[in-house]
Amino acid sequence: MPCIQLQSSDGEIFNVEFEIAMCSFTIKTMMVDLDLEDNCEEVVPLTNVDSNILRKILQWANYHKDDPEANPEDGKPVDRRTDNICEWDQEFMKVDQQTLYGLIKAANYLDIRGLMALTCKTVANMMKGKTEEQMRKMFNIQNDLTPEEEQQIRQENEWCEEVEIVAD
Amino acid sequence: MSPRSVHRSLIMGTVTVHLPPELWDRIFDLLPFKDQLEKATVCRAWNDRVARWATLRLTCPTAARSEEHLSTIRHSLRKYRSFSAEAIRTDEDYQCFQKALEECERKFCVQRFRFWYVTGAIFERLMKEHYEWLRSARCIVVNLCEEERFPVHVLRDLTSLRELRLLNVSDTSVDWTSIEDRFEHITKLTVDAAWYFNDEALEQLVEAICRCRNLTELTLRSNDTTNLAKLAESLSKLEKLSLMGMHIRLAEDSLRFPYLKYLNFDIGSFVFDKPCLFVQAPLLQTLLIAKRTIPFVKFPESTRLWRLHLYGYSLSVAHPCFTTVKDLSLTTWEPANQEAVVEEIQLFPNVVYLSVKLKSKDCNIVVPDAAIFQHMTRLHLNNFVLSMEFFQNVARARMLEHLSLEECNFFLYSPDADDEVPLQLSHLSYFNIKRVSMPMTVEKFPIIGNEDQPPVVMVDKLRTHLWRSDRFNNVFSSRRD
Repeated sequence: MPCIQLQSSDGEIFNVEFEIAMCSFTIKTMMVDLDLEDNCEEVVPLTNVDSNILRKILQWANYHKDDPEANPEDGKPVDRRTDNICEWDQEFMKVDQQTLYGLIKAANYLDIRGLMALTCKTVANMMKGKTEEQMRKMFNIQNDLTPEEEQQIRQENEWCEEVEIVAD
Repeated sequence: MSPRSVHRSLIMGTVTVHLPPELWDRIFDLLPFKDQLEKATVCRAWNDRVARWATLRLTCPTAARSEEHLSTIRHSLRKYRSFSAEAIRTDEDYQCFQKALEECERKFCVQRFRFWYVTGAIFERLMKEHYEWLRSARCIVVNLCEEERFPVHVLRDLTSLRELRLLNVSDTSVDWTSIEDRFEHITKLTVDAAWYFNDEALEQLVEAICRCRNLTELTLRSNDTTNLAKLAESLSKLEKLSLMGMHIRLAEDSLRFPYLKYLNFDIGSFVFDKPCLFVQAPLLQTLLIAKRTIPFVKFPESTRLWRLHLYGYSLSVAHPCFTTVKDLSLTTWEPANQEAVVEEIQLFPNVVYLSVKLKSKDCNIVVPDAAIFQHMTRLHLNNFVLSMEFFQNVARARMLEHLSLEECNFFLYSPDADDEVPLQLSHLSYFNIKRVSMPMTVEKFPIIGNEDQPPVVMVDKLRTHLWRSDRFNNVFSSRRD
């Protein structure tokens, strides 16, 4: 099985099966652009991903290596459901918040669409049903609104409905 | 802390994390709109974010309400990009909206406008008096409320417009020639023409649509549809096509849409000149069509339908396209019996997601044996009579991942089962019920999902339009319903 070497930001080198590394569109593009597809000796540096996060990502990619490739152009509607996380993924996402946010950023940087969806869904699920005070505490956000502004927002919410299409 | 820095520097305990705004947008996009609104009072930046998904909606013009509108708009902290004004039928209505409209024009750079239940004359006035505001519109939706002239010419200089929806157009004398080639920039078009067999008006409309050569999405609802071949020839970029109406007169035997991925062929009845219609759409993935129509439609062998929605009376004959379908919705009107429903499901050997809806006021069809669903992961049932045996088999075989039930009755539920322990479907990652009825109280509801599922609660029986039996005193839903 052909492998490539990925180097994390803290210098650790991971020997990864080609097929598994290709779940990242960033790595895939890099391999093609730099003509590295037949060169297993070359080390691919991932400057934005530390070894702990990269290890987790490779664990996820190994489990999902046989999943159909996500293609945003395939005409399927955007999946906005957050209750369709499979059992394995639910277990996988039982991590501390530092790791969770590290995974989101790394999935974004490496352009791993399945992992990106999973991590965002997990944060969205954490947010659902929480009060504003719980949200501020969870994300350590300072409330920069005056009580009058908060009241105005609540009142204004009654005049709002969901936009059907986000204007681009 | 500035609104922006709230997003750039979130501190989790002792750990500082940075998420770029586009990632927060993705996360917010997954929240139901109600949750998004509730989160707006967390901080200024989150309130800003809500404006991305919110439409400011002004309705029911009265003098008192117009003051309320004005006050809300003046104090708003949001930068709305979507705006809706409703029920402006008379000059008096317009006067009530006038100040609020002017304030909106001053404050909000809107890209999406919706005018709901307006007359043609009022729409023309809006366009003239707020032209500078509307000229940057990317999307305009107009739902007309009365049979009167529709001034389509006022749209011709809106060169930023990409999406146009004209609903309830009853004016058969619309001068479509006034827009000529001005609509080439539009990529999404909906025309809902409330006409009745007016051939001349329809031909002019089709001519006008054919000039929108860059359309990728077209929805045409008319009581009579013809000239499809011309649409196919002119609109080669179409990816999504919905044809809805009562009749279609079809002189063509072949339609070619090289990029079409989605086809909604919601036509009540055909007048065929040919034995079948060959739809050459090699990229087609999703099809919505009546059961009695599908035998007359043929596709190239290379077509790989992924999602299919069939509706109408029971279907008993297979079609070659059924073999590739993974995601199937079957809506059956007045189903004959359980065997007919089972026979229909068995026509689709590779389905993974299945939804079966029985459209019948007095349905008494018992849910089929669970074994028929064994190769599926997601199942939605509507209007079935439920049996405990079905759920016991699902639990025993650990079948399905998602199960949702709507408008069903536990008709066969035995009163002797009162003392039994509820059946647990803990293997399901999703178990949801909506308006399921049975004679017992909520404590006796015989099934529970896994610990993450919302509890089943009693809901108002008036919410069900399929209420049938006086013996069923209680209606249940999952709490998230």
